[in-house]
Amino acid sequence: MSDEKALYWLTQVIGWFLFVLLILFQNFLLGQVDVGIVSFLIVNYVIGIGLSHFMRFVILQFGMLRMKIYQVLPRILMLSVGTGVSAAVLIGTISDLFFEDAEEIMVMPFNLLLELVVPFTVVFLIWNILYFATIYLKNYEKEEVKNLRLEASMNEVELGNLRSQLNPHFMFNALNSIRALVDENPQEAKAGITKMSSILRSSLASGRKQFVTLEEEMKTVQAYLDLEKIRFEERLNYSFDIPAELNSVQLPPMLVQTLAENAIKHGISDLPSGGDVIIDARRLNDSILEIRVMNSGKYDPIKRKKSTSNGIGLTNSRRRLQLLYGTKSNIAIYNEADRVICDITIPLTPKSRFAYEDIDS
Amino acid sequence: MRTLIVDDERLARKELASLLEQFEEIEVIDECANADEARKAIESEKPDLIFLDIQMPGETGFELLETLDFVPKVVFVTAYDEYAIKAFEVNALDYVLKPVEEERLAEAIKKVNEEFKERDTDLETTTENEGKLGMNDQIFLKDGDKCWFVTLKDIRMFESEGNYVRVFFENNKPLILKSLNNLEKRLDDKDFFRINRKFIVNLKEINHIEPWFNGGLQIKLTTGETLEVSRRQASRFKDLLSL
Repeated sequence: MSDEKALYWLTQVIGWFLFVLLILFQNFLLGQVDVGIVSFLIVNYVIGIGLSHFMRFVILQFGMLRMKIYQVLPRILMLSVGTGVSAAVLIGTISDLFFEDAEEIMVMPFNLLLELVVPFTVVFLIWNILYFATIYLKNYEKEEVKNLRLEASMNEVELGNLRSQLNPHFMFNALNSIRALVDENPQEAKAGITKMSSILRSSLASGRKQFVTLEEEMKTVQAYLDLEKIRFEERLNYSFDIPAELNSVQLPPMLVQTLAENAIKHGISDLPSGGDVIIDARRLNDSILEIRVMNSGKYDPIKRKKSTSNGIGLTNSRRRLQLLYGTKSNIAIYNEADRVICDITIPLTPKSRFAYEDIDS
Repeated sequence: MRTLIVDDERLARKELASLLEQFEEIEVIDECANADEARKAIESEKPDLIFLDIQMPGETGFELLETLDFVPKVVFVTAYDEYAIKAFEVNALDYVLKPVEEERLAEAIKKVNEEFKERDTDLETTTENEGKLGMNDQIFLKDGDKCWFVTLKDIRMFESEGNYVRVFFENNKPLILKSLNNLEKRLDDKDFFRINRKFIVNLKEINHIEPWFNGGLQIKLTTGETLEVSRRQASRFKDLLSL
């Protein structure tokens, strides 16, 4: 027997028991407790369970659980009255046939109506209301769980889509520079191809991994900046300052990489004489990591919106962090002197928000 | 063809120059790393063809072309994918993608070469007007994300609008940041005539002329627009047409 079924029967047995107990108590107050009343109540008990179970059968048979509320209400009413009358007739008959000392019920329609039909109809109506309320509540909970799960999977999909893809503009330019290097400096051309592979590898891996260590991420960033240096030559200089103790901190893959790409795309590549990219990281307190990407140039949100790629990288990164960490993360971007500064703050210990995934199992 | 390479990356210029070595008709006369250098070289060297990178620091390739009085044949060189270029709606645009494919480059050069020969034979008759634009010269127009190379003979008229000039051709009328007076100096008045303070009209587009008030004239263009020739310009206008 499933949990739901067991719960149903338990409620039936206890519910009707409480019901007859209530009547017994009422009779007790009136001082009318005798063997007749007790056997009469036992009959009531059996008929109550039997008819309400039959009512459930009807409800299921006619698919009333899937009906709209305005269709259900009149049907419940009719069903309750019908069952109420049946109960009254059954009990009346049994009482007349077996309890000889009691007054005849079936020959007095008025008494029958007043004493049995109305109370039983009300009782069955209450039964129906409780039954439907339970079912609706249960469905609502199920729906809720389904929605949560749906939202979680949508977030997963969105995260997947947001995972930074390599900028094709960068790749083609890099390949073009490497091709020129093949004649000029074959050694450096080979190194360039190796770096390109390393970036492609981490870009592909970022689709599978939710987190990488800061050390791995900075390796990718270095390969990326090395390649851009082939292209920009003396126009690009870069430096890192990452304390060794932070190497093992986990962060979403390609996060720093995306901001480094922005630094090149909107900073260095717009400056005829080039500039610097400086990346450092520090622990703000016990739980927060700050990574700072600085580049020469000026941040101009209006101009950036106008450009063809309109800062998708930054928007995506923000959304990714929001999905992964909620409000515990931030990306701030601002000008300071002749530099653009981009500060990322994320929790030192990552926690996946998709913890309720195991609901399924 | 005397050719100029414009790209901000040294290696990209080098790569393109080495690819161009195998084309006999191409003679690379100079390489420029930014729009400023390119503008000077174009004004002084008057190259026949430029290979132009679109993304450059400072001014983009499009911005450079907008400022030019004399626009050589242009082949864009870009790492953008072609869909991104099409977004700019540059018509009659030729471009090669980085890294450059040799076959694609050969195609582009062949096309430019054919157009060039065509124009050369046309040009024989009108080469004496030093410094002025001929009917077969092209200018570069940009309006928002739309760009056009327009051959002068396809332009119906120019209209002055404050500091700008509106250029009418086909169904388009983009604005350019130039004064009508400057434009008038660059145009040959046998082709384009200043009919009044506001308009310069392509003489070949005039369909109908009739006398108008105060000794002026009213002209009707092939496309249906009617314009007035001021009294001051009317006699000179009659002289030109009676030739």
